[in-house]
Amino acid sequence: MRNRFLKQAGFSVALGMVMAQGAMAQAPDKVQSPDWTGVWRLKGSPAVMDREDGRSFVAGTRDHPPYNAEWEKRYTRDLVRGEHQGDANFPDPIVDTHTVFCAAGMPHLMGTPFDYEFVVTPAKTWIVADKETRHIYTDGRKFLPDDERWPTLLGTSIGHWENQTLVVETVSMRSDVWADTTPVMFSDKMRITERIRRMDANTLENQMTIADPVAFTKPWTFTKHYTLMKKGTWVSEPEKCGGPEDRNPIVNGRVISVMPGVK
Amino acid sequence: MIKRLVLVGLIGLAMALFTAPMLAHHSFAAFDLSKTVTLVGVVKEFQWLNPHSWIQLMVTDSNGKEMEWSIETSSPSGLSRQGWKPKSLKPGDHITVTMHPMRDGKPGGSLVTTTLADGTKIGGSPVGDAKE
Repeated sequence: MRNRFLKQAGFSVALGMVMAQGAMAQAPDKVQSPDWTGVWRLKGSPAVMDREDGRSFVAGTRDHPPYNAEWEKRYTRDLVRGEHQGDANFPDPIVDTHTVFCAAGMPHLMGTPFDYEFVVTPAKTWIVADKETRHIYTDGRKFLPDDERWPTLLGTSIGHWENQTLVVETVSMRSDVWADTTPVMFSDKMRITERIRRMDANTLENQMTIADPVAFTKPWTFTKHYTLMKKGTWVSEPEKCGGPEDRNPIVNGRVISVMPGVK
Repeated sequence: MIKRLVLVGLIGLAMALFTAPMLAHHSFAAFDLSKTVTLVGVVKEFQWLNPHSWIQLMVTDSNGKEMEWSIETSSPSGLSRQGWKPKSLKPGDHITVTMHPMRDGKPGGSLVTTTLADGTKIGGSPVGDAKE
């Protein structure tokens, strides 16, 4: 009798362990996480988000977000102000926010010349570029309520897998951060949807859609690509700004160049 | 020692297309990207610094007057990806650089190309890798 009880108890414990293991194996996602290891670099130019060519900081270089009239007017005005950010004689320049924060923020971070790493696990994916790290939760969690979130450079991201495509939703980004080297900005209602997949052995594709019911007349969609660097590539040292070595400080709202011996 | 300062003038369309400045910690608005200047001089110092590295170049003009020029380049990581090393330039090196000059006329610019005295070119364009 006692032996039978012990056998039943042992069976129950073993069954419980198997069930627990089974539950852990299924959670949080049933998909097999793809291998995106390696160092990746943006294909094409980082000048603007909605094209893969273009030249940074050249007059006339611009994106074409589907702004409404009010926001298009603001963007057109800010383009000129941004082109004069180093001009001591221009009355009202603005400095690009990558200089201000020494960080790209979102969505800019996905269109830089920095080295990218995609660290994929079932419950979470990290995207690392320069000194910024995106945390993308794929464990099934939902966004916190509005009153428990606040705008940040990279926003808050959750994701899920559709076969081998990582679908990422990002909210709560700062509205005053440029989307690239031009002053594309958004309202605090903006939301980014990314569909990231491996097109072939050497290419990752990120189809980005930005919705902004305040600034846009329709969603803005564009695609960025990243090329896999050869095995053994070292990740670049992060760029650091604002220290004593920085010869391009912001003075009186303008980016200046410090020239030794020149007044 | 130092030979000449030559204003080359407007850059060509190809250069306009293929030397897009890298994302930097600041814009290149201070530089006149429509012009390219060639400088021949002697390296005073190569500052391998974040966020941008600089070449301090001593240049003598046609009147024999020597002047120090500051030529801004990319970040150390950006330069290294294009084949540069911290000691690619040493004080005393005779080099030829092309650069986009500063709009305000100060002796400075944004580096386009660098050539050593023996004709060796260092790296690619340190301010542009638009085409990979």
